[in-house]
Amino acid sequence: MVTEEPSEGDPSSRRKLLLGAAAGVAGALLAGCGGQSIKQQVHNSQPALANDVDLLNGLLHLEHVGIAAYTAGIPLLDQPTAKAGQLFLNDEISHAGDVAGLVREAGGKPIKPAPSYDLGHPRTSDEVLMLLHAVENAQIAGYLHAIQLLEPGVVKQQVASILANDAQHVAVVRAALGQPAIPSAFVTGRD
Amino acid sequence: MGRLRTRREIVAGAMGVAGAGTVAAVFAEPAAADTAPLTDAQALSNALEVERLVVLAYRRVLASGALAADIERAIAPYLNQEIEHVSAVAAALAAMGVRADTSALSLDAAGDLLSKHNIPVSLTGLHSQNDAMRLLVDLESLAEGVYFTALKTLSTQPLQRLAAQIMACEAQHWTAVSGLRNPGEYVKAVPWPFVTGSS
Repeated sequence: MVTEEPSEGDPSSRRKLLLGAAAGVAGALLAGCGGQSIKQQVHNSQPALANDVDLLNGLLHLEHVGIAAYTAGIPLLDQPTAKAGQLFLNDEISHAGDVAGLVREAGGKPIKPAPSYDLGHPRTSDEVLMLLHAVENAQIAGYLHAIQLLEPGVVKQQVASILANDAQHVAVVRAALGQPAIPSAFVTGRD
Repeated sequence: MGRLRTRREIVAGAMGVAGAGTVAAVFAEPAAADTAPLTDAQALSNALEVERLVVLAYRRVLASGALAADIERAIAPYLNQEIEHVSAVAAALAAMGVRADTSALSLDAAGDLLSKHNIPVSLTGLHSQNDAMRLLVDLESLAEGVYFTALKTLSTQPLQRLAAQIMACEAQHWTAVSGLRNPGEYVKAVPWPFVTGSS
């Protein structure tokens, strides 16, 4: 049984994997653990289709917007929400790197972040949270759309793993805004 | 918490050194990669079985008396959402002409399923809040994983969308329950940038 909740006791196998990644030996560790990572499956199967490049770059754009929003907004967030914001910024950076990798797998060139984005002029913690709520929802809607179009199945999985993490972000953001964290049984990016 | 923050920093550091692809490569798929591809009906039947287990677990946890009142109030709406998942998956199966059992899972069947997925908690032995919430966290991971696995093979866009929407909701449940277990510790509520669940 592998659970995502961080172990409070002995280091989990997942932690070992992360440490291995830092040491640059992730591939060898994965081989030793059995099973293929998604990335390996992508490599071992048909790559994302070339005509997926625009779609994937659209997702990458949304990630760049998310990174910009968190980067600009975190200084305005109340504590301890700012701690969550910093964690989520790290997640968005990971997502951007992952999607950029998919663009390259599809034979494309990942778009670069724009010099600036129109994020409005939030001045309070709640205004920043509302901005982040909108940004996360846009990402969720984008990933839900893309999952239906991208091939092969392992790419759908990779995108779904990001979508689910963004859904976790939006639940925390909604709670910080004093709204129901999980308003629906089906995540749509429109709540 | 400091130790967990360090994990995050390790991830960020690994990205800087080796690129995000390496980070993506560290999470293994929960399902066996070399088994035969699932049919849509098999994938959804697996999901329905897990959803029925989750519904039973929420019912048992909420009836156990082990939860503090505020936590019970916070968690109670998730039972209804899990019931909605059962209905949606059953409807998708029925549309394929597959009989879908939405009745309450028996405790024996639930025990067998928990053993099958190596979840070492008995639904009849929920004596503490920690046990009860740990069970829910483990089951939400299992639910995430069954949809994650299904997404590899589901053949139609409506089914892919449904699976992704439910998987994301299960991830939100996971975060909410884990957050209640660890108040204020966001790193324990959203510990990883990629959600794959468990098998």
